[in-house]
Amino acid sequence: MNNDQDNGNSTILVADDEEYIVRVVAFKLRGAGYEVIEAVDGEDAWSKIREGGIDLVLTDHQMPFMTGLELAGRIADDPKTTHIPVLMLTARGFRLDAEEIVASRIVELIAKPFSPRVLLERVRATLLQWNGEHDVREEAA
Amino acid sequence: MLNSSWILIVLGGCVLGMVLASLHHRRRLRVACADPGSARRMGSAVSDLHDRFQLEQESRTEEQVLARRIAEERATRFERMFTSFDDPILVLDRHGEVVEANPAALAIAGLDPEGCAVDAVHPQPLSSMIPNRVAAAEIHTLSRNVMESGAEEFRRSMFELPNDGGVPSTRAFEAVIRALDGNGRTLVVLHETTREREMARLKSEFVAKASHELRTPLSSIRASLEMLSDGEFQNLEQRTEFLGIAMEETDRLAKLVNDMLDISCIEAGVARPRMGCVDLGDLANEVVGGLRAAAERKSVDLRIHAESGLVVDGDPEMLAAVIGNLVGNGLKYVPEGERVTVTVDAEDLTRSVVVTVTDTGLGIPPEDIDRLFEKFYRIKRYERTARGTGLGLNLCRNIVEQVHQGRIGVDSRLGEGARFWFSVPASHPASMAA
Repeated sequence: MNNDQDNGNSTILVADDEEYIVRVVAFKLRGAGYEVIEAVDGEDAWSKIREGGIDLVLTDHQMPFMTGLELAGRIADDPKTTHIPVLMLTARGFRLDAEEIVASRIVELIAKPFSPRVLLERVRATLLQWNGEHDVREEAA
Repeated sequence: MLNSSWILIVLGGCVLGMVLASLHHRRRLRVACADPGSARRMGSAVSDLHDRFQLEQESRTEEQVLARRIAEERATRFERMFTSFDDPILVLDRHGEVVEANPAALAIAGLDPEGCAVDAVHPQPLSSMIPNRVAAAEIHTLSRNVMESGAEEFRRSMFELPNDGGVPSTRAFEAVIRALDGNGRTLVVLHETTREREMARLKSEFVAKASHELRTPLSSIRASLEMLSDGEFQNLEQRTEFLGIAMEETDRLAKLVNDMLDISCIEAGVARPRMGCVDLGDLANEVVGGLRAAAERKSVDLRIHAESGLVVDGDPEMLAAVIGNLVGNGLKYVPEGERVTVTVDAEDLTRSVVVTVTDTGLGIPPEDIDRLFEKFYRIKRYERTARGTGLGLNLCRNIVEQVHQGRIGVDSRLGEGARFWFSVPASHPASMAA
């Protein structure tokens, strides 16, 4: 079941301070045809997102300098990046504050350890849904 | 005529006379006889009686004095116990007002134990003695329940009171309410549970951190295996890379579990160290020898200055783990081409052996120094420099301080390298010879 079709050249930023997680996730996403930009922590991720060209952010929560939640909050608050959907990997999702998650407008939490197959499905579904909504909004405008 | 009584003198069924025996006027005995002729005969009998009566009275008085003294001493003792108890204790009357409060109870109410009277004459409302309205109201209701139902006691689950300027900012208590007497008084003891709460908090924090640390390597292992099983890897090189990740992360997981177990055993006091004479000079040489290959791979200049004969009482395996951890950290965190030096010296002043691991690396930021030995604490700026369990230094501290009654520490300035050291008391000369 290899869905390595064209994924519209979407670019995904993967942020995690765990080198091996980034390598595994990046390999999976690249295999599915996405462009992947890697970031080693929240600050690194934020500076790369601001450079533009990112369609989806997949971030870990526990990272030095800036957590995934803080990163998602910044993305949501900045008019230049607010359109980017954020999926968050977390090793302790049950401990996160629900209000914070809502405020940061994270699309989905994915618990560690995760299945790369499921992760890819969620990325694909989010991009489809997001782009669809975006198109509708543009048409309405 | 207090303390005096008439005694009937009866002989052969006839009342012969009466004696007024008085405690205070023992000389002034009044003898009233029915037959005046018998008065003389009665004289000696009455005298005997008087002596017996006096003896009884005196012994009864002594008993009373003794009993009173015992009661007084007991009251003083109980008063002292009441005032010295660390837990706040209150006595409530039938109306729920406070009629007794020990100094600990006055303290939580913010009252001065010296200049403040809380007693039956000056009762205080419970709400003024317990600065938590909800808790005060509940304790009031519970004491009424105890009084009305005749139940022995009622417990109220934990509640919090402000802690004036202390850390933590609140103190936790549990109230136990008991019936005190038949007049509707109740005894309220507030057990402080702040420490238990703090322990529970630390434990839960540790479990949360540990679960995070366990899930991270598990994620890489699971993901690598799933991709292998899905046939995602096109060539041998990719397969080797991701199987390598899975294996490395499995080792990390195993080390994490081992470190956690070792630390918890030492902390719980159930570790069984195999104590013996350990030559720290020889041991350091051995450990450093085992790390030479790793140092060469990273082009780190690893040196050691240690001579034999520096003996301590200790568990060789545990002490080797401490040296291995400190030297291993040095190798992990110093940049290529830097130097790590191990020295073992005797310190005469404290009669101990000191092992020092000095590196010429990047140093430790001042804000991290104090927390370096905490469980799962990592220096943010070096987090990606090396992969560890986050427990190594904490295990070292436990081994040195708990098992060997030694000391461990670090001196460092950012940009000027770091000097980790530990000292263990030197063996007694007799055991050194053994």
